[in-house]
Amino acid sequence: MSGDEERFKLVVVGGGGVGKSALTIQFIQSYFVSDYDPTIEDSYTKICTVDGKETRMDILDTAGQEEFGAMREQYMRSGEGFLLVFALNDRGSFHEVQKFHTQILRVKDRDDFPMVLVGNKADLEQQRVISREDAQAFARENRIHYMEASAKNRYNVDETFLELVQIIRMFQEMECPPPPAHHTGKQKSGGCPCVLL
Amino acid sequence: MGSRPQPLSLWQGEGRLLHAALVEQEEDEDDEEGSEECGGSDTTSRAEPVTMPTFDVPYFRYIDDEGTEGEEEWSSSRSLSSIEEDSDSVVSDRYMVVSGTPEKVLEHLLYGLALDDDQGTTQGKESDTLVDDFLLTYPVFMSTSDLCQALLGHYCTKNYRGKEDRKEALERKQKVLHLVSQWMCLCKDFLREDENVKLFMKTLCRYVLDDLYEHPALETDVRELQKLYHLHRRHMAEEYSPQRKSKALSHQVSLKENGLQSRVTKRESKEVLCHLYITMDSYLSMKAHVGVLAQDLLHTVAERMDVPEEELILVAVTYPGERLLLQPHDRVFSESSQQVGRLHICRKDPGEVLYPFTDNSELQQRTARMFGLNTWDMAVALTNFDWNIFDTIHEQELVYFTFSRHASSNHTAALELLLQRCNEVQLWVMTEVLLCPTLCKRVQLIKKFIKIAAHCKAQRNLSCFFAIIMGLNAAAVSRLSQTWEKIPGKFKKLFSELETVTDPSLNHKAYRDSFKKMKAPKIPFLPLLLKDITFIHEGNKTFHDNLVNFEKLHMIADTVRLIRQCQTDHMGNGIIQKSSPEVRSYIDYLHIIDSQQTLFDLSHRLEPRGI
Repeated sequence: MSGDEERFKLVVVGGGGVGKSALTIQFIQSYFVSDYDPTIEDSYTKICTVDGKETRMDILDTAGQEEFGAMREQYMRSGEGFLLVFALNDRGSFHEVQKFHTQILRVKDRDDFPMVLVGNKADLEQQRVISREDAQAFARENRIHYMEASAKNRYNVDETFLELVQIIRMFQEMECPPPPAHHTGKQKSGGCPCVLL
Repeated sequence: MGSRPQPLSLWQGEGRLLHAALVEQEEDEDDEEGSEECGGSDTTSRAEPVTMPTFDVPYFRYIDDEGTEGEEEWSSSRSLSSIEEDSDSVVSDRYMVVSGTPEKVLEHLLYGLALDDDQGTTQGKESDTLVDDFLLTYPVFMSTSDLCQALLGHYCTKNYRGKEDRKEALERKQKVLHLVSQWMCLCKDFLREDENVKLFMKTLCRYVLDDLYEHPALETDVRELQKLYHLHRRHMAEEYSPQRKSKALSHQVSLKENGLQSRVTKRESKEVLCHLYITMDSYLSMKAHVGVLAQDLLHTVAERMDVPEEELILVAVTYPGERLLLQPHDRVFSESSQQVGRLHICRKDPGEVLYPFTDNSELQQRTARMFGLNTWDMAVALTNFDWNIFDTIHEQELVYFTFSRHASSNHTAALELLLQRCNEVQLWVMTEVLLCPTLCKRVQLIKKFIKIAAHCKAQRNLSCFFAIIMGLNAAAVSRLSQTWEKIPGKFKKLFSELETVTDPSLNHKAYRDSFKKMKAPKIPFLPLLLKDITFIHEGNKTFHDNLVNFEKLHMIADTVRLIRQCQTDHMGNGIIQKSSPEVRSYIDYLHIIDSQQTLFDLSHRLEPRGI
């Protein structure tokens, strides 16, 4: 089983204070426990079933090392999909995420790569400074999907990660299509139809 | 230490609500009764308060006052924390501190503190860990001034309602003094400039002197304290180990060199990485004292760049865009150790900022000296550079870095310096490779860097090791496929072996495993430690209701203690080696391009895209 188990490395990028780590922790831990030890081997690993297929996700998160650009690039190199996280109440973080988008494409040396743009802190609607339209416009322009989430209220947390898994699968199938027998015209649930166009 | 209930009555007397939760494992595994049980545990822990704190475990009981509010509060947080997924907890019949109000935690800690005769026992060791945890992480939940206040309060407290006899009072005072001396040893010169601490030490000394008449036994303590206090006042660190001594010595030497007054501390004479722009987008990075003068910098640059010193001037460009010509005797850093502006080295030409070198490639010809240098020597010089910074990092810097990120507390100077150095080494590797115009030389250079990285790892400098590997792996360098093709198989194999150590998969398993096996002294890859602490912080609450979550603090303390473990040299393995002056003069002044755009432009010029 473990031999042909699907594994993905998902990278969470975004500026300091956008709630990256909260998103990761919420996703990794299904519920709050008092002692989360992030120094052990599987503190950032989660196994999920997406579209009926089990997948093992290794989450790479740059939280706490924002000042350290080299680390981010190292994570980008090994990432197979990215969550670009910004805070809906922080314009600076939205600009920053656009820079990370450019950096990822550069590191990957491609024009497209599996990414989901995530507007975090949806719970702070009153303080919102980035409109859904603005974020969507950037996403559309760059052929990536956009979602809003709230790590605090556990809104759309799992969904963003699972969405990314689906996008990676589609991307990898396009890159290197499996033998036709395996290819059963998979229909994504609620995904963005324009990801790979 | 007897089993006296006095410390408990202390806060009861003051009518404050203070909790400390102790945990008892095993026996309680199947205990469902919840809060009714607390009364029982209360008496248990009073009966044998000697059973001191240990760690792990999700089940709570608390030695505490009879306050019913407390019990309600507690049971609510209990439900929170008892959601435990895997209970592979170690079998232990000891108590541990799980949470409590800051005051209560401190009180509990004082209560259990081992005086000299208890030391060496298991219990003594456990309480030592607890004390260490507390002293390393208290800034998370109480300010230094709060701690000073609380300690003075414990020392002076008179409201024991007559229960305390003379011997017990003495013991209490001694314990406070003990804790203070441990605290002062721990912070070394870290809190030296803290006004609260200065005042606190002064006040405490006075109190102890006043007490001498009643408690002559305090004499040894008072001497110890005075020693600490005077050391404190004289701004000298408490140095014990031979290693520390040699550090103090080298410190004195460097003071002499600087011609600064002896009052200046290591921290006051602190060093910064100074950036001197020599083209629009590249600079020389060098370590300098904050008191450095413009002429010193000019002299160094002229030497390094092989340009007559008289031709150069130093210009500071301030943020609004003003240009300020620095006179030879001007200081480059202000009192607050802020740079006066972006520093540019220019040719003397009134009114114009003119770089000595118009183009980075012109510079390369001068800096390609690296080919003549031995890779082991270079690794030695790089490691010495890093070690001199790393050795001054205080454990608490990591705590301050994570918890008061943007409140520039000035408590993270050395840590930030090493992080900055790590970034710079990575950029330097990229700069060197990308400024190398011919393919075969570039191949030579990359081979050299692979060797240096391997040597750094052998010298247990994982900070620099990561920086070099990341520099070679950076997109602008790794995309040079024609260059990499020419790297011999042997080197490619070595590189991919080294690369696996930096692989972030499974939470950096490869690095964690190999680093654990290395002997101290060694330099860890700090960004990962910062990530760990950030996630401990984000993933665990600091307070449950009003109670400090001490488990979290213990986890943080464990993580930052790694710094100490890496710094101590039990076996005399010494990390510092002699480096040749020639190599040092090269390594100490790295030429760096920090613009990603420029680096990519250079990369595309060497090997255009799509070929």
